[in-house]
Amino acid sequence: MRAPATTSHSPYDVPRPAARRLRIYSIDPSLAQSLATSAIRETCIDVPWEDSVQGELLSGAMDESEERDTPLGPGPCGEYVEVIDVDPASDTCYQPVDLSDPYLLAQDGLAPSDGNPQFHQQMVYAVAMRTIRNFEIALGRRALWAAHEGQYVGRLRIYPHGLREANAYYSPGKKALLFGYFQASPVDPTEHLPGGIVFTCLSHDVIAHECAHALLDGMNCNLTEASNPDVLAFHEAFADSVALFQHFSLPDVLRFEIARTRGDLRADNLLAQLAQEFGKAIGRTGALRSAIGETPNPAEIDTVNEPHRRGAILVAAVFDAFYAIYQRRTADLYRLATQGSGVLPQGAIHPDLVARLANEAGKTAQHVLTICIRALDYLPPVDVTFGEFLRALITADADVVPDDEWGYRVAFMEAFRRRGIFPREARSLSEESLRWEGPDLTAADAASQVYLGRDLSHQMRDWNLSGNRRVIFERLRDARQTAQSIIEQTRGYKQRITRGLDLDRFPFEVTSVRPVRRAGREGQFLLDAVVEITQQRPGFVDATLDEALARGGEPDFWFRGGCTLIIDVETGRLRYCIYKSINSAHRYERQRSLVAGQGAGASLAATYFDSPSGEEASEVFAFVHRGLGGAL
Amino acid sequence: MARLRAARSGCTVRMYRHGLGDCFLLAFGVSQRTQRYMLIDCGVLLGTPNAEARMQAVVKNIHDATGGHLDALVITHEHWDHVSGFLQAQQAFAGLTVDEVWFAWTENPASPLARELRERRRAALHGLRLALASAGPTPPLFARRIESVRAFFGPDLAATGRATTEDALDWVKQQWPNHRYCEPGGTPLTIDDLPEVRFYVLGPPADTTYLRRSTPTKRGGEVYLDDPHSGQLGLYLAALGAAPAVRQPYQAAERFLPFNEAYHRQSFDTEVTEITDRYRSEPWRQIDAEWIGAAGELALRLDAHTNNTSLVLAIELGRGDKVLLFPGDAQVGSWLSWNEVGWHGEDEAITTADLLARTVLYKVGHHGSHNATLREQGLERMTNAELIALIPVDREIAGRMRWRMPHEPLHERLTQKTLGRLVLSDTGLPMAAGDAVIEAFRGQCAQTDLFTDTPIIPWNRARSAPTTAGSQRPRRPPRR
Repeated sequence: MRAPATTSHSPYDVPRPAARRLRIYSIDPSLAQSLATSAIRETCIDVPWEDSVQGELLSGAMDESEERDTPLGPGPCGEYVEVIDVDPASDTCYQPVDLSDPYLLAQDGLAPSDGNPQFHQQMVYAVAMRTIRNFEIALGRRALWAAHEGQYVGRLRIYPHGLREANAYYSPGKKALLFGYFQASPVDPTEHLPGGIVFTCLSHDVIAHECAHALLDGMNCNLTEASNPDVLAFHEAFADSVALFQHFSLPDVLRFEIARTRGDLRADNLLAQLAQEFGKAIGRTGALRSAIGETPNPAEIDTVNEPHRRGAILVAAVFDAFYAIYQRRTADLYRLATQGSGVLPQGAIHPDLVARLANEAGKTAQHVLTICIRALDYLPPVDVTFGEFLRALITADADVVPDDEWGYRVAFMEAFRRRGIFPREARSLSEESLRWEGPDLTAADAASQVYLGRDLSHQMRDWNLSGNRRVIFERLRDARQTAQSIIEQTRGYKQRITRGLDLDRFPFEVTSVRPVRRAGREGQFLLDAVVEITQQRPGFVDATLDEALARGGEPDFWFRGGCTLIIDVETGRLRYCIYKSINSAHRYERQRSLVAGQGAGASLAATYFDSPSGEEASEVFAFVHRGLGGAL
Repeated sequence: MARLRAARSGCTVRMYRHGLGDCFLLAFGVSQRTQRYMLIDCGVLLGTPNAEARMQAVVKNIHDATGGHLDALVITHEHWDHVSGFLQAQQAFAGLTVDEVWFAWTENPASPLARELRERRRAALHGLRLALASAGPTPPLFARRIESVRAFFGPDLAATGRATTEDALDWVKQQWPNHRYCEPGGTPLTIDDLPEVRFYVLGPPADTTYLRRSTPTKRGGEVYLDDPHSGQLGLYLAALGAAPAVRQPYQAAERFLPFNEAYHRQSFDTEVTEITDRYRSEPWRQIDAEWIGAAGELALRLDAHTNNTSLVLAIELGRGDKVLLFPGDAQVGSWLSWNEVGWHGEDEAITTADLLARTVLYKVGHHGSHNATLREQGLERMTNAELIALIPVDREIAGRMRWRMPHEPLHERLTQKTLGRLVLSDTGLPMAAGDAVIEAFRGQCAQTDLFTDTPIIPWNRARSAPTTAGSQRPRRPPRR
């Protein structure tokens, strides 16, 4: 997120506010219905300040150097998102809320209310912006949405009342979040009013989850193509993790739950659960998903294929890692509080201890989430697996925090191992062998890497990572095209960059060039360039890798391969080469059997339909989500 | 024409090869001359070329093979590929006499639960029709999903929202007035002069929670066939104009709205505002019809639900003897419920495990789809080494619909378990290719373009000890 302008446009010489405070339901409206939780039913969060149209004009802030083309308008409609509250099923639309109204500014927005659509708009806006900001802080650069037919998409659309069903999803085709509302049908009528209306857009978790889908798609649009059972599951797990760890950035809820559980985050608590109200309203006994409660079973990873359930394994592993780190970071506090016995006396714990524990939990959650988000830059360009995510995570973290004082990486490795998640190809599960390998280049090869690195570094020299998003988008596009032509035109180049690629037989595409920060030896920040190159070849359900090539006609699926190169911009040296071979018969067979239905989930749709292709692929989440009777 | 015959106390199963659909004629030998006939289903998938001619040829053959009389007619469930023949070859059927028609209890007009289930099904069908109607000229993504279900409910669904299959059933009920509504468990059924042969009813489950289970997973609450008024899709159906979602009198508005009227603007087509301008500014991002998409899932659930109401029969050729399993299109929920069903004969108690272990002929459910044959609790419990499997399927038609029938892994496993004695109705008897087991199997069976005949000789006639892979013939439980 851009740093707030320090220059003042106010006659009182007051700096522009950094944040706008908005009231939201802290988790969802169900907390208000129980005396035990009503104290934390609502909270007030800071979202990045976006100027109102009027404010901009009055202050004369719309000078060209700022390139501020997107002030916050009614909707709310800001720089990153636009909330458009149409309800086609009801053939109506709702008056958009104007958060710049002085009365609303003075009282932190509208008061939480499930019966007021304007509050719904405020809440989706607030939680979505909060999610985006957390994501950007972790990533170290500004977030972009996936392009539409190569064109820049500035704002994610949010339709808070777009569906009438127990569902919400991100539509990659429309670059939009759609939220539904439905009548509750709980098992236990005392948990929720039967027939009462539940709005998915009032659930913090649902909003954060869907928004995370959109952010992830903006990072890597190949992750929506289910080439192995892990891909969609990874998307779901990532979205769940973002929603889960965002709970820890709600101070009221955090302190409340720390006090209630006496710091034991393994106990049943709101922080580790997702979509309480929704779960109960669709007839579950509790939350839709929970990160705690299940004993790790390493065999599960081999049997569970449905994306949400498979994703839950990864979420549980990440949460285990979080818990282990939290325990380590708070061990001294417990020793102090218990005179070294480690056993807390009965009853409530001291408010100071609550505050310190909450502080540690919040910090740890932020770290863990940051580690997960940063790993996204270190993934192979296509066909991601959980094991590769672990390798990416370890590598990325080692690049930023070389000195792992608290054992974060060990905690991750252990938690993942206990859930049966490890890279099949790694020689051992030590940190060294989990880190991505270098290029294994001969001296001659190395030279060409240096050229590519130098050419790119030239491109990236004066990049402002926090500038205007449209400009960033255009620069990244130019850098992609430059890289493409460098590789195509430089003689002998194609022969040298061969890891995972087959440049003789298939055309290639540079799908992404982006900058990544990393810490140098002396703690200074260095810039790396991530370059993704992909290729594709046809695949048929009833043909092997080589047979498929000879066959003509419309293929049943595209088989993709490629590599992610991470290049030190300063020296031009290739640091890592993360590849998925385009000629891998093993991977082809895995994808082929998935498409043929052998590894398909157990839904009826799997009998009747192929894996989503063509048009259905653009709505992959709608179908993934609906297939479960609305599991978001 | 030759009558279909079975050896004394045995059974010959004729599977018709008319396309993607079920039609099975069973002959039971009372003596060398006297036979009893049972017909299980008669239908073919909607959209099959020359469907009427095909079905008429089938029914003519039934007529010839039985002499125009059926001792029992079994209607497993109300899907077009199981009952279309009663409309497409109605005249030929009218010439048949039928002693008794067997239905699942879910068809029983006297059962309140069955009536309620049918009402819900009707409401859902009605919703689907309205969804299709409101989808507009360009078929949206979900339409294909509805299409697949439409094929199971007959040609009228799109036009009237009424399942044509209901017409077929009504005609059957009127034509042959002697009905039996079968409930799982209790005393096995028999037909006259065949006291040895006992028909065990395994499903549809009497417990509705099983009826709703369509997939092997435990999660995913079944919500789509809830009560149409207060259920989760109540608001959805209300918006389609199908079922007014009214919970409280004050909500009895013309249109059910999520908010107080005061918040609702007029229809956003008529009033141009800043927000609708922005909405319309990028047409590719509009969501006018997205909400209707829930219909696709509704369609799939409805299909699964109907499959689960299949009448499931296990036919035992004699006490402790061979068993033939005809599960209709029962899906996971039904299979799971069988464990809780038991039967009391004169001096014994029979369990599902026992029946499955003695199963030597399995009519593969739902044309071999992956979720109509349960693995551990089903197929893997059919341990008899003599197992034969019949799959009524037409891979060309299934391929055209882009359905995975038969499911590849299931097909493989069935081939293993039957040692190759697996008959698919489109290709007929398996090719021997030097395999002695298949060679012998082919020798026993008969085949024409219209059907395959598979004779089953009971163990007590074959005079050879049965060969079971795991357990030998199960011991009878001690008498109490």
